[in-house]
Amino acid sequence: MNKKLEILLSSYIDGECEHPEIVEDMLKQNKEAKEIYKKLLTSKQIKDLKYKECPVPFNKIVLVTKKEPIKRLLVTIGAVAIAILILFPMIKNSYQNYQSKNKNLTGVLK
Amino acid sequence: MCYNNRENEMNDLVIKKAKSGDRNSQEIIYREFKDRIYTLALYYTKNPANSSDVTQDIFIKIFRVINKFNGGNFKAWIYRVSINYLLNYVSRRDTFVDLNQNCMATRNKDIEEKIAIEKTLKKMPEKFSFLLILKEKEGLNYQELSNVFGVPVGTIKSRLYKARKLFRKYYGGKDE
Repeated sequence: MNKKLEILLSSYIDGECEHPEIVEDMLKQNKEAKEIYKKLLTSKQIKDLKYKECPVPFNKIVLVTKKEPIKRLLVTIGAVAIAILILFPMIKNSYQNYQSKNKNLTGVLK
Repeated sequence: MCYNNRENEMNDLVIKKAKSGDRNSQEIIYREFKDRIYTLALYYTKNPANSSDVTQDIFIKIFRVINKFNGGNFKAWIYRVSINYLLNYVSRRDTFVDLNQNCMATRNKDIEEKIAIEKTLKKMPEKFSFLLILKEKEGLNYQELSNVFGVPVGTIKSRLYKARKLFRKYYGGKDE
């Protein structure tokens, strides 16, 4: 049986065959076609399957709104600013220490 | 969702509201499709826990991109987003969980047949099993399936024929 004919039978099963009367005639006359038709019909049983119940409640479907990335960015900027404010006196101090030590050392060398 | 005129109007309204971020409308859509998407995910991940996570992610994606829906068959659009997600973003984990555990302890012929069908679908490559489910269970037509999978109608015809042959092969274990 050629592939085209099998595809035709499959389309007939789906009710999307352009000339169903030709297929109907063929099924009456051709035993092999009828046999293949019956085999292809097996998949129709899928219709009897029941859906499995989804356990996920709707409130778990939480969309990340557009505001949230902006919020995250602001929090990051804030954290960096606070870190700089805390560290600034220490950095400033260590720089001044370095300068005074450097001055002293160069004085010794002279 | 049914597609007679009255319900279609209601659906359009629900979709419109969901697009504007209305949580009640989103919940209506969620309730309508959650079990379908979860079942589809279950055939893909083969694991109930993973399927729950995947279903959650898919719906987050659906509501994020719902503004891109410009009319047509909403069900087909939902499946398009879901299948794209499943095929592109989720790594397949073969932690096979026998669906028997989800069934009642009393096993009769009918239940056994259903388990056999489910197992058959799990054995098949996704592009074929999804196609068969959407055709046989959801009743999408060729044009809608073409939109869902992003392939021409001719390809859908040919894939459906192959899918049916594969289904028969794995289900009956006799042919080809």
